[in-house]
Amino acid sequence: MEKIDRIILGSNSFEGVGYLSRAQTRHYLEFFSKRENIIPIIEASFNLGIKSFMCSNNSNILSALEDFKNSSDLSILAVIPNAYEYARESTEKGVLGTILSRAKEIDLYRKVRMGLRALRKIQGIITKDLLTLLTNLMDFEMASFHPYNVTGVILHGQVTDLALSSDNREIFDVYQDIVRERYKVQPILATHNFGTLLPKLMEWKINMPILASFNKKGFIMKPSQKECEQLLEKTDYYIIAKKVLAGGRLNPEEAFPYLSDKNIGSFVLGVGSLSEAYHTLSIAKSTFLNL
Amino acid sequence: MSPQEKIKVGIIGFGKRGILHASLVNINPEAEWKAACNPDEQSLTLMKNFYPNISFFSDKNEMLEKVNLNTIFICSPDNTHLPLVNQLIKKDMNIFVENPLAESFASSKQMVNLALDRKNIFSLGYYSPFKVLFQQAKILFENGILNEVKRYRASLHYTLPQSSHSYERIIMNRTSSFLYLIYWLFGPVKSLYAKASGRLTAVESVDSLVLDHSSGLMGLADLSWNRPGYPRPTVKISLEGTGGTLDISEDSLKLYLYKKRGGYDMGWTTIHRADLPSPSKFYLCEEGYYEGNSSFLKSCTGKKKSTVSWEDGLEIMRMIEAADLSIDSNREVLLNEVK
Repeated sequence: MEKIDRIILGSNSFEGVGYLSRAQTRHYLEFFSKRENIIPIIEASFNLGIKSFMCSNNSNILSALEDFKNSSDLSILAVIPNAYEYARESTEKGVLGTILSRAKEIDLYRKVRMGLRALRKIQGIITKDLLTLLTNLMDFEMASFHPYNVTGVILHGQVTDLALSSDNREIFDVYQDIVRERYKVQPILATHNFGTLLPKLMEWKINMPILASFNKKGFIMKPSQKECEQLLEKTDYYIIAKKVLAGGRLNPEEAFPYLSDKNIGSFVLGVGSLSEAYHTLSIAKSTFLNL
Repeated sequence: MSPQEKIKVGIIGFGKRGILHASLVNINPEAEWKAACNPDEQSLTLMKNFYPNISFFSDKNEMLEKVNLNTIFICSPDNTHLPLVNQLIKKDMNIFVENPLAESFASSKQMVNLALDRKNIFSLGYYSPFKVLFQQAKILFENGILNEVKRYRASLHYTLPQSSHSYERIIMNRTSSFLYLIYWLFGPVKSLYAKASGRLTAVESVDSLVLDHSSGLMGLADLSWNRPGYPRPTVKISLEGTGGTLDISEDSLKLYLYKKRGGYDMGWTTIHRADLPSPSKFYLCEEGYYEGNSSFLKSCTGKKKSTVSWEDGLEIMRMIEAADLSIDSNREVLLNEVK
């Protein structure tokens, strides 16, 4: 397995995703619509030694990365697909219509960067096998990350959980094969249902790092906090914890001691301001890296 | 159907909600998703790739003829609900309909009449009763935490990606969910007065409603579909009582009490979603979907009344009809005028 850094900067706040209140979500949407508000946070994190960044191909984030002088030194964990934008668009166009219209929207520059004639390929996917279909969709999503040092590809939790509920092993096989063979990086699965996913992967003998919620409050730890903790204790899978602050309900001082002795390899930490970045990441470094 | 027998589920309409329900049925040990139908051949080809063991059809009649089913989720457009129910009810099916119940009050009423005296289970896709914060809010309200409550103010704000008439279905869906939340929390509405720039569920509309509940509670509600900063539909309800105030949202409850009461201290108490234990065993897209889906399936196995009934759905359609009547006539409309 490719090495994954112990602490990873998350990007939910930059994408306007918050769990504390809709007022917070609105603030994030407004504040981080300007790339000049994202860059100092990535920079502060980088200067604190946090060199892994987990993000989707959100346009504000990509724009900030373009202007961040050390972006080539960042290790990017790309989250695909950008489920929030797909979900929003598919309200009007349907799932398939969204995929097709996305393909039509990409400009020539991107098509060249992608190294494929995306439109023709994506229009053709519906008659092809699962491998071709997923390969083309993933190429399309990954094109945005082309300039950066992508070290891992994370399948979005909503997609993982849909695939999990379809009980279709082939989707997971195909996904990890594409990521390993085509992009030559680490495939990772995000989930909101750790307690269902891990036993299923073990049954299928599929081993990939899992990105799942772990926090003192049991927030979105499914089917239950206790069952997730029991599985975590015994597993030899590499686990990356997210929602460690229980959607912002806990501060780092309250949240991190619960996590520090758990069988967790990495921690994703989202921050919503520069001061929060210094505070959260400094405590994370002293707790998880003993620095 | 014996309690041991698995529920055999078919899905009609395989868009976002159809996929969601199929996935939730699939992880439920009491049910088995067998088939789906959707008129769009292209999307069926796509779905066959993802679900190789499921029978897909472009024609619902073919699905009903070829596959042994006893339960149907209707996730197709609102104006298809009544004709589908007409057909399915004769086949002795349990039926779950995505909200709203139908495209109009008249169609909804026909559906409820068709289901009368049937032993099957009929339910509807309203998910408020399955969200832990709303459950907690209802308990606080019903236990009189605010002492005497005189009024509430409720809002639903959403930023549509762009103004388009193709969004009318989603607006209808969101409006009826919002009104259902109000109905579920505070009980039936006796009369209402509505003011809007168009019909209640028109895209360009900014709507205001004054609602008089049978309990004597009065509410003000406003709905807006084009307010920047709301990529997700956002509900807020503020209750004012003689004992304090309570702000209800999907992320938190904010309680302010003038005196210590019901185990809560004087002053502010904030309860976040993360503070409450969630009974949900599986999380897909949003809290409440799994619980709503599994509650219906549980009702099917036990043949007991479902949490959300078609009669509830009819009441919501009555409110929408009354609101449109009020907008047209510029007067207060009694709900029992809508028959």
